[in-house]
Amino acid sequence: MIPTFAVVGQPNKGKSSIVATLAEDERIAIAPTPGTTRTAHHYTLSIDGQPQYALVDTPGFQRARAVLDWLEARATTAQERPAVVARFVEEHRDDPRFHDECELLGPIIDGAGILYVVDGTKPYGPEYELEMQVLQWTGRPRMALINLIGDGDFVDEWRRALDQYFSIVRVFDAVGADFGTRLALLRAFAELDEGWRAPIERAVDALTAERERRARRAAAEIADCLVACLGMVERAPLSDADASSTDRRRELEGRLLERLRDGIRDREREARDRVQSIYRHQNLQRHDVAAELLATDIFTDEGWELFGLSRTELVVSGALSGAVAGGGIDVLLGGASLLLGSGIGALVGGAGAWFGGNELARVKVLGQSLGGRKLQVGPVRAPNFPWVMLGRAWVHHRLVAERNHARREAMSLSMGEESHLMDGVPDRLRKDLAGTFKALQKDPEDGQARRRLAEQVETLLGVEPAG
Amino acid sequence: MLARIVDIRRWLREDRRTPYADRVARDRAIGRELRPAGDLGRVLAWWSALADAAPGPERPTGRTLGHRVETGRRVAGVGLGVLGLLVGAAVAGVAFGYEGRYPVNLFTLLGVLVGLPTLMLLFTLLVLPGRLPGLKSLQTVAAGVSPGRWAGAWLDRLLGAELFAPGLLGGAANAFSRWQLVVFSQWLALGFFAGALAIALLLVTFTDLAFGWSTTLNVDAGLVQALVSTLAAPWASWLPSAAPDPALVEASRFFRLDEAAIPQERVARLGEWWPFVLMTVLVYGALPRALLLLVGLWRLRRATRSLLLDDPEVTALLDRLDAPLVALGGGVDEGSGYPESSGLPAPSEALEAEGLVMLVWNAAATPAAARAWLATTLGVEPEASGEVGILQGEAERRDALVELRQSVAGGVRRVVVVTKGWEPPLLEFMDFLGQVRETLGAEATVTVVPLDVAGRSVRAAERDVWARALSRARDPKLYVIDATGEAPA
Repeated sequence: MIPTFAVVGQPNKGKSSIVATLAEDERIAIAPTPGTTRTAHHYTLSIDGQPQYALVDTPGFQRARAVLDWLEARATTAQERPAVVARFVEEHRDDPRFHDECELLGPIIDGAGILYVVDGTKPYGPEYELEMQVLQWTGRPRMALINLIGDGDFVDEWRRALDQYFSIVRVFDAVGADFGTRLALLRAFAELDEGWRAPIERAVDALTAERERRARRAAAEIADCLVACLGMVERAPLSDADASSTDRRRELEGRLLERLRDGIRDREREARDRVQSIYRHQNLQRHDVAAELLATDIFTDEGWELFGLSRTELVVSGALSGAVAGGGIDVLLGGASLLLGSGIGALVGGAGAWFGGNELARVKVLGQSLGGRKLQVGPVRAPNFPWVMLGRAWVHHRLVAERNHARREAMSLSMGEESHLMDGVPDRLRKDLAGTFKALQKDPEDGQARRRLAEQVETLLGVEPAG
Repeated sequence: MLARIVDIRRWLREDRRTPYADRVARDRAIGRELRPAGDLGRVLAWWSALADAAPGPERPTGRTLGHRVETGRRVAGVGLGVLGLLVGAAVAGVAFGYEGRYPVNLFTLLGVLVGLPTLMLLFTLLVLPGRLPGLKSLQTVAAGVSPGRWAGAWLDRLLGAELFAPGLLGGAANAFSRWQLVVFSQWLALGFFAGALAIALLLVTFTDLAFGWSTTLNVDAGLVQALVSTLAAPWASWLPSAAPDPALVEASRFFRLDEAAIPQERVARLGEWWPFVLMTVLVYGALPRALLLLVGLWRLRRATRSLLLDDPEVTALLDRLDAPLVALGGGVDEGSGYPESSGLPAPSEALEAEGLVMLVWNAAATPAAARAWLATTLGVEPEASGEVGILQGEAERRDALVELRQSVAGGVRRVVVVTKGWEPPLLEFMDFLGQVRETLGAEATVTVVPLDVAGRSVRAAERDVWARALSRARDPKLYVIDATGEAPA
């Protein structure tokens, strides 16, 4: 049997929060209403289908006094107690009065270790001792977790009481615990039973490796988003009427600018959704502010192209082609034309490309036009732009990566474009990033720069953001 | 392979919408079944496994974008080859033009059939090394005049593939498109030489061609002989008939002003140039193109693999195939065990002291503190009070309640139960309320007063939790004091 841990305690002490945190499951019902968990649910951590350990989220104790009375009436010696507890569950499985007790004791009599959860921000009360005694009767290894739900501090008085019933007592803030704290808690589970150490260690190693993979994937997503935003442009065909009217041209330019802003905003949102998905926060709500782009930062150009060539390139190409063709005539004439063929060919080819390009651009082959006059807005050339985008992604990643799955409130991302977000970046990394941004602003398709950026972002994600 | 690669890349782009955990689980499940192989082999095997596992309607059919791209590329290659064939035949027809007055000038012939294509070849080679400092414009133009690029741009527009438009910069996509340009161009060139050689052979066979050499420059026969010998060196040893001797070179010079350019007795020899001409076109024109085509096909194959393996989505896929799947257990959505209504109301009338008893449950407060709260907050003084709790047995609690009832002479009409507002309302407490009702009478109103740690009224949210929990008792005379703790109007 794999190590199994039944998370038990009174209702509303954060049992489900602890399970949600350890199982990274944001769908586990967590509510201030007691009794939200009605039946025991198993959450098994497996590596490639091989179970390593299981957590059992259970309903809380409701009638500990009655249970203890029943047990005490039937056992006189300590060695009888576990069997009597098993009998209790056996005899009351269909009794609605003890539904919750049977649900929580069932996994324990099947061999689970006990994780008893209390709220260290509320005072200790002697009535808790009844359920501690019931748990003691099971004879299973036990650990107490002092969860911190509210503002009070009664940890010391809880410790004094719990130390008498549990071999290990730990304070664990289920909602605030970061990844390292979660791993430390898992390792503490292994202390309950020597035989559980190996699978728990395997689980810890696997979780650590998985964490690294997630960071790598998140870095790739962020790098992709940056590259996409750096190279993002909006183009539209520019008709003769648009080109001749300043107002119409400005209107078209404004529309393209708005599309560019929307495009960058959407791409950033998409990247954030993906990063959240990597960290199993698919349903996490965000309150964030989109990066604002100043119109002056954005490159605007009116261009013309045919077969992807600019007009100048087309003319040179035409002239060269003409010269080669004319050169053929020169050769055929044995040089008698004194390179006139090449010269005339170049002139005809160049002029043809210049004057005939417009006509050719309108030609459609299988429904596709070959080229034409175009208005382009973008890419964003502001030197600060990639830093702002990266800083925002960095902070978002940090919040998501460290966010606990027991937290259910929306995540607030109030950072704007402040450059101080990047203040904590080590100088060397900052320099490397600057070089990569420069390369990518020159050529967003530069594969090597893309790979470098993903590696640099991965390094960055390991650094704590400033502020 | 290109068809699959195009489809895989496209599919993976769309797959990014699938939740990460689902992608990890799906791909690792496939990855565990794959045989050890290289990265490319594993990705292709994954693709096959994915297609096999897909339900019928979702299974990729034959006319995917990848298949269209593959077909388009084949059609473009064949089309360029045919075009080259026609152009080569036409050019050769003109270049070998011989009306019988003067021999075909070898300089002209080789210039058109070997010199110009070699110039074009150099242009193509200029595109290959990626960006060269200071030559960007020239490289752009070289790529621009390439028929291979035109064919690629046309395919891209037609198929919406964004695959063949070549760039000069880094990246697997650009390497792919550059080598595709090279391959397309070589099909055209090989078609050209095939057409030219075919026409040359036809003319040699069915007409009496005569070749000579003529130039305005002061070139003597020895120099031309040296040039010809150098050109013929690769085949002179095994094909001596295609290596003109000095006498033939000497005999082949002609001047157009000289009506009797070549003595009649030497005219018969002028036709002996044709093996040399064909071999020169073959070796210096067609052979480099054929070699470049082979290199291009080899590099294109590599670039096609890189196109797949350098894709960040494929890198992520390989990671998903290889990394052990860490599953953390399935989540279960649970409904609340409590009604969604706001629960019990506050008492509808003011509490009065007559027949009022107070019970403190589980030491929620000291009796004195609870009395003080009642006096201060509600302005009432209970006639009797008692402490009960879970530590007592059921019988013990009943005795306490009976004793309390007997201590109120006029009978118990109202009961206030002070409880720990910070603790959840357990079923044990509900059992106790049932006991209260049973012992103190069905007509008495029972008002639960949850207090906080400091002995004050709980906040509205906590009061609501209690109200909702106690509403399950369906007792019409059971209330929860309102959050302010003030007596209702």
